[in-house]
Amino acid sequence: MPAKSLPELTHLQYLVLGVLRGGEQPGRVVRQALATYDIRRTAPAFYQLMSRLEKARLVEGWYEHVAVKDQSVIERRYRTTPEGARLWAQAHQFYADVAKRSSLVRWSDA
Amino acid sequence: MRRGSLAARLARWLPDEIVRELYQPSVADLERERIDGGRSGSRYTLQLLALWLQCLALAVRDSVKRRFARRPADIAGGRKEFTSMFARDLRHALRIFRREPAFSGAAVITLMLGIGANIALFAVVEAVLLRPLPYADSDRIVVLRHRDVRTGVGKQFLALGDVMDMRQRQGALESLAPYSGFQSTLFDAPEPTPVAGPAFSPEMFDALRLRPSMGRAFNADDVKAKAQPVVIISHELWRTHLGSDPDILSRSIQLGAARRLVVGVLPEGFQFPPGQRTDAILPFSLPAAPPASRQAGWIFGLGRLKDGETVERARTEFSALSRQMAEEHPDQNTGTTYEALTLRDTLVGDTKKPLLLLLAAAACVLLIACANVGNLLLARSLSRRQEFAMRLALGASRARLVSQVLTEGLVLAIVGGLVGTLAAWRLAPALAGMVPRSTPVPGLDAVQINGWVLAFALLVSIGSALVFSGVAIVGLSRGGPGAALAARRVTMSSGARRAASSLVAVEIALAAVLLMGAGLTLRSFA
Repeated sequence: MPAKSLPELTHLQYLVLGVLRGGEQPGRVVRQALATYDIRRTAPAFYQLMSRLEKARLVEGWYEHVAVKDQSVIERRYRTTPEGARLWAQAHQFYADVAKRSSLVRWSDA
Repeated sequence: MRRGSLAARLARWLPDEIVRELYQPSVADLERERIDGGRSGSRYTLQLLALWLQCLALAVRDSVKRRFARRPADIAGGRKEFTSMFARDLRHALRIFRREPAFSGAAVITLMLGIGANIALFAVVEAVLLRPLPYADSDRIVVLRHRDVRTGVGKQFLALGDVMDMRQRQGALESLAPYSGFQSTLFDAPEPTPVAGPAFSPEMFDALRLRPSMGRAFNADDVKAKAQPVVIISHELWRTHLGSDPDILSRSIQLGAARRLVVGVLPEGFQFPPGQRTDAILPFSLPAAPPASRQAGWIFGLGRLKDGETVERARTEFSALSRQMAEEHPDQNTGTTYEALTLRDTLVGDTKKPLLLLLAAAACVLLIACANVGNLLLARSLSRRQEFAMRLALGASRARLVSQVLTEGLVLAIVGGLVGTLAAWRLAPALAGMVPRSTPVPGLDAVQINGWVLAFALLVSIGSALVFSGVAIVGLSRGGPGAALAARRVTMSSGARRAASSLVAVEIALAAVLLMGAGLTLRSFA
């Protein structure tokens, strides 16, 4: 059954949730992952984006103490919520469906 | 964040929400990077400050967004209210414009002089400096010039031997294409006709991205020693002297002493350089090896910058090549340097500075005109002081009065701008004729009032309205409406007095600048 409605996620949200799909990650790592797609944000702008995702209940974030070279530092970690995972899957299904149909269907006949 | 640390102290100046959501995790990441990378303390401090500033900017942006966020219904309502208010002000301004014809006429004539001069000059500047040249990506075409270091004199002529060496060694241009000019006589027309134009090497067609509308461009075979003489003719020559012959490409024409096969017809209107006769193009060939006397011939050269190259880089490269050749041929090349200029800079030459200077002078004239109209408005506002006071007493806000004065100024400026545009329509071509030109300057013959010039006229008119209405607004009484209503004598408020005095000072200063500029210009011609 093809996905009929447009995804509710923006491209950026789709990307962030996609990065977190493999499991929880520190914000620093998510930001680095975005940079590989040439999306460069300052740290505050990135955490503002994450904060909005948290407020939309698509991800949850918390602080954790980690030891780096014998020093204890905190880092903000994130994971997707079930709602975030559901919306990501819906968007993914939509894009996959468009990609599949574009190679099989002549739209004028559809 | 450790208590008492710089990060914690900076955090005190940010809203709690920003600290919690943006600043704290960002500082944590920065701290982690510092430990990982062993960064110096000073760099960490700078990065921390930058981060704090970014958070502050985001906090301000959010606060502004929240402050001005309005529901769509509010926005639509506000828009409607604004439109109706503006329409009322406009009607009132037009009534006043008609009611006081002497005042309106004086203001319009003053503005016409200022705005008209600016429009006329801008029309010339637009045609000469801003309008794209008739070649694809003309900003990437670079012309090589020769400069004598000892005298400082620059010329477009290049020594033949130098061009041949630089063609091999340069890397900033797709190719350094040589060209020259020719004059001859066409004998195939009903009567012998003088023809003139450039002689192009095959690379010139690529450099200018020029494709004949019929036939082909020159190729390497056309410039070989014993190649068949060929020619590419202009569209105009084909039409007027060769009867628009559809089989022209299989015909030979007698050009001077040689019979040449026509291999192409240029696109209609093509000229190189712009504004110069281009009846035909002949092939240009270089000798097999540089002549012993490097200055045995003088030619021209241009090229198109390679992707990613800049004029500055080309300039540096040709400067280095000049030094290299001076070392190799000290007897012939010492004191000679080659420089790369954009095609426009080469064509416009010395005309650019006087044009911009004249535009600046016209801007001064406009400012003086604005000061004069501002003074007139200031004087008129005295007679309307009681009217304004009455409106304030009836509940009008000061913003409403300001908006009305602005609208009145806008009406004056738009009418002045319209009359000024009409004057500029006749004045601009005359001005273009007065621009000194040692060589033909592209665009000077095509000066006209087009869309860009009209947009400029509108912009200048609105700008002028803001300037002189601003003066009148300063003159609006700052005291309460009661004082103005009670006053029997019409006297200037202290604000108006200050504004009037400042206007006189500004006018004198601008006039002095103009006078000095004119004096210096005259002296430079003496």
